[in-house]
Amino acid sequence: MAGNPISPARLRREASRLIPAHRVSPSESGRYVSVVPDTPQEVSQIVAWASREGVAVIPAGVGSEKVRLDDWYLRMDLHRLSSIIDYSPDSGLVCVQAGTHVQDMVDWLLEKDRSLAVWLDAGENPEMWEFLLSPEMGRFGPRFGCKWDQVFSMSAVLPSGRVFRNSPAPARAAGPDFAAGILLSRGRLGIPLEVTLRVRRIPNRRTQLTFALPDPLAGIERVWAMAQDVNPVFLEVGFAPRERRSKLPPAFLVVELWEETRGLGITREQVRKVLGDAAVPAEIPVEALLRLHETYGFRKGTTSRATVERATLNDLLAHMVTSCQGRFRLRLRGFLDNQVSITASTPEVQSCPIPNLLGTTSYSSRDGSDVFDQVCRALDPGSVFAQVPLLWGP
Amino acid sequence: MVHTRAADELRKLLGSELVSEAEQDLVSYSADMLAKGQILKLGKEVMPVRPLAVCFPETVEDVRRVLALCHQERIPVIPYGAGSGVCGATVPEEPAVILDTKRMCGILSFSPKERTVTVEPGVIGERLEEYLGARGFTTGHFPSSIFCSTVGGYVACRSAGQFSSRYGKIEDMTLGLEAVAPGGRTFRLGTLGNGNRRDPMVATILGSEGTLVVITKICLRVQPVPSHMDFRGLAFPGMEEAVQCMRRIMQTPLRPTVMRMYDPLDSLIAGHHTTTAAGKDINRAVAELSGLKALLGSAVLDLNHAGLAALLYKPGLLNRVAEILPSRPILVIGVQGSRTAVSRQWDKILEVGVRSHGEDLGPEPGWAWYNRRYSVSHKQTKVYAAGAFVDTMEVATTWDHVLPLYKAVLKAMGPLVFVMAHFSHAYPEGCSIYFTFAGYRPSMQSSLKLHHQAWKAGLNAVSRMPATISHHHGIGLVKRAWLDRESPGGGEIFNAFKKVLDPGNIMNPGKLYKLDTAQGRSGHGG
Repeated sequence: MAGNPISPARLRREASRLIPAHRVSPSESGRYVSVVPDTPQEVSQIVAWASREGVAVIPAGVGSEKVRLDDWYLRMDLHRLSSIIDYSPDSGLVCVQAGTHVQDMVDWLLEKDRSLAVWLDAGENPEMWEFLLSPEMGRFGPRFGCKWDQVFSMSAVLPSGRVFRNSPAPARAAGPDFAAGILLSRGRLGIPLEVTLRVRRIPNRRTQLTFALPDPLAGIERVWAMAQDVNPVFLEVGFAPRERRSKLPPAFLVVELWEETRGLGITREQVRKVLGDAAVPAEIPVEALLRLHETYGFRKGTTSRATVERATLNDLLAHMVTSCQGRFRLRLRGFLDNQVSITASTPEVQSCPIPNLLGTTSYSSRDGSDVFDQVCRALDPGSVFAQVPLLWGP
Repeated sequence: MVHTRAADELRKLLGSELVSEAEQDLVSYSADMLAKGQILKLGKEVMPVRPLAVCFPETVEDVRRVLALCHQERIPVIPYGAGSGVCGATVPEEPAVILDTKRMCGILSFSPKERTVTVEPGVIGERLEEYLGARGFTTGHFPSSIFCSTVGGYVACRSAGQFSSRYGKIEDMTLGLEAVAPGGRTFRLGTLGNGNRRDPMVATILGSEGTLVVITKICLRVQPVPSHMDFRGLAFPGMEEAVQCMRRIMQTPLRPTVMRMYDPLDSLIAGHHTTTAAGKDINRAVAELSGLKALLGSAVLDLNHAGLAALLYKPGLLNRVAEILPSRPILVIGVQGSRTAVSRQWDKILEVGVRSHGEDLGPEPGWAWYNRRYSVSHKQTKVYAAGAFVDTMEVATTWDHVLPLYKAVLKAMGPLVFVMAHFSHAYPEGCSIYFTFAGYRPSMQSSLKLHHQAWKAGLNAVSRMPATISHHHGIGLVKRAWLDRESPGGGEIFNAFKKVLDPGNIMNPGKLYKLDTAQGRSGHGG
C-alpha cells in the first residue's frame, strides 16, 4: 500500500465509475471515500479495482471510526446488501446478504418458531458480516456449537475481487474448507457477501435451570461433565462482583434445555444427576437473568476476552478465587471441546492479573497463525483487506 | 539429483528396510481402489505411472527428513495411508516417492476426562476403535473401509463413517493436528498447538489430500460407547415419503446413529424385501438381477457372468425395468443410548414414521445391514470377474433438492450405466446420496470410455444443482475437473497456501485445484 498514494479526487472519480455517483461520498473527517454498493457484483468490482490500484478497503461497521490509515482508502458500507434471499423451512436454512442486521433476522425467525441457536448480548445488532468476522460476538452452547458452526455455505469477496463460493451441502469432501479460513481470518482473507445459516426449529418444550455453585472449582468440573453428557443448548457460569450481585449467588450456573415433550423431564434429571451436590438449585428471577449483562458491568478497556482450555480455566479460577476474593467479574460460556469462552474484568489489575492468564490461547494455534499470516499476504499482496482486523482492535 | 537415485538417497536417510523399489510394491502403489485401476486389470494392464520408490517412515523426524530431501531435490511426494480411496487421490501422475504412513501407527495419548485421543496417522481405523472400545469409548467413526483405512487418510479426504448422523464426519471430531511441510517445518495446529479446533489451518489441512503437508498426529474427540443399540426398518410407498421421514426425524432433537434409505432397486438388491411375501416374489421374478448382490459384496449367488454382462450392456433397458419393479424404498434407522433413551427415541421415530406413511418392518432389516456393514470395501466385488465394472459416486445436497438431484443423476447416467442409490449420512439440513453404478463393454478400452462418460454425465448433472460433488470420498483424479465449479475462487486460496507451504509443488502434484502457471516446478495442476 505504501508508496502508492492515491488522491481523494481520483478515488472518488474511479469509484463513481464503478457504482452510481450518489452512492460515493468523500469523508469529512477521515482519509476515506465512502462507497455503498448495492449488489455483490458491485462489491466485487470495487474490490477488484482497489486490488489493482493498491487501495485499502475497510467495511463500514463496528470500530470503523477507529481505523486510521496514512493513505486514502475506501470505506465500503454494506448496509444496502440486506436482503433475506431465501428461507427454506424444510431444509432449516436461511440465506441472507452480508448487510442484514443479525438481531432483525433473529426476530424475523422467531416469528416462524425458528432460532439461529446463537444469541447476541443485549443491545447488540451487528450486520451479518461483522457478526461473523468479529472474534467476540455471539453466545452459544455445546448442543449447536458456535456461530461459525451455523454457517452452512457462503460467498465472500477475496482481496482480488473474485468471489469465492462453496457449495450448499450439509457436508463436503471437496478439498479444504476455505470458508472456515475466511470466517476466522477476521476479514483478511475475504469479506462475506451472502451467507446461508442453519436455523433450528424451537421445540415445544424449553426450560432454563439455575444453580448456585457453592464450591466454584468443584462445580466447574461437574459443569464440564454436564456439558459433555447432556449437551445443553446454552450454559453460562457467572461470577458477579459482590456489590452488584442482587438476587444472585456468588457463583451461579444457567442451563437452557430444548427437548421434545417427553424428553425434557428426563434431561432435566440428567442435568441434576451429573451436577450432583456440586450445584444447588437456585431460584434466580427471570429479570435478574435478563439483566445479567448490566450486572457484570463489563466495560471496554478493563475487560479481557479469550478462549481458554480446560486446564487453563482451572488455573485461572483457582487464582481468582483465592487472590481476588470476590472482586472480579467473570463469565464463562461455550464449554465446547474442552474450551470455554471467557470474559473477565477486575478493578484491581495489579493484585488480580487476569490479562496474564488470558490471551494465551485463541482460535488459531501459534504455528497456524504464522502460516495463516503468510497465506493472507500471498493472497493479498496489495494489502487490500490487511487493515480490516483493526475494526476489532489489535 | 536424478530422480532415479531417489531410492538410494531415501535409504541413506531411513535405512534400506524402510524403502522399497520392489516391482510388486511399485505396481501396487501405482493405484488405490480407483475403479479405473480395476478396469485396466480387465485388459491385464496397470496404472501407467509407477512411483520412484515407496518409503515407510516410522517417526516424525523420518517424515521431516524425507520431505526436506524431496523439497530440496524437487521430487514429488505422495502421502499414503492404506490405499482404500476410490477417487485416485494417491495415484501418481508422474514418478513420485510414496510416503506410506502405516508404520506410524501409535496411539499416543487417551484422556477419558477430556474425551480425546491422539494418534499417529497410520493407525488403522478398526484398531483404534478396538483400543477405545476396550476402554468404553469410541470416536464414532466407522467407515465401511474401517479394516483397510487409516486415520490420516480419513483426515486427508474428509471421510465419513456410517454413524455420522450421530457423531459427525471426521472434520467434526478432529480437534488438533500435527503436520510437516515440504521444507521440513513441523506445525502443531488446533488443540495440539494450544489453539482451538476451529484453527483455520486445521480446516485447511482437512481435505487437502496430501497436497500441502504430511499429517503426523491427529487429536480426535471421543465419546462413551452407549450401552444399547437397536435398529428398525421402515418401508414407504414412495421416495417422497421416505425422504420426508428422514428429514422430519433429523429435524427433531433426536440424533439417530444410522439413517440409510435405499431406493426401490437398492432395497431389492440389498435383500430387505425378502422378509415379506411380496419381496420373495419380486426376488424370484428378477433372479438374474439379484446377481447384482455382488455389488454390495454379499456374494449370495453364483454369478452368471454372461447374463450379467448382457444385462449391463443395455443399461437403459435395465434401468427402465428397475423403474417399474413393484418395490418400495426402505429406511434403516439405528439408535443408541441407555435402554430408556433408546426406547424413548423409538417412540418418537415411529410416531414420525407413521405420520410419513411408513410401515414398520421390525428390527431385521437394520440388523441385516449392521452385520454386513463392512463387507463392501475390503472384498473385491465379483462384478469385475464378469468383465464388467462397478463404481460409486457420493454427493450431498439439502432436503429441498434431494429428490430432484437423485432424479437428475439417474436421468443423466441411466442411458450409460445401471444406477441405483441409497441415501445416508443424514443431517438436519440434508443428506448424502450414494449412487452405485455398473456398466459393461466387451473391451477394456471401451469400458474405460464408458466409465469416463458415466462419471462425466453424473458430475455434470450434480454441478448444475445446488449440491456438492463429494460428500466423503474426496476429489482425487476423478472429480478434480469439477472442483472449480463446486467452489469458485477456491483455487485462488489454494494457490496461496501452496505458495506458503509447498512452494516447490512437490506435494501430490496435480491434485485438487490447478496451480498458477508461474508456480511450482513446472506449474503442475489438474
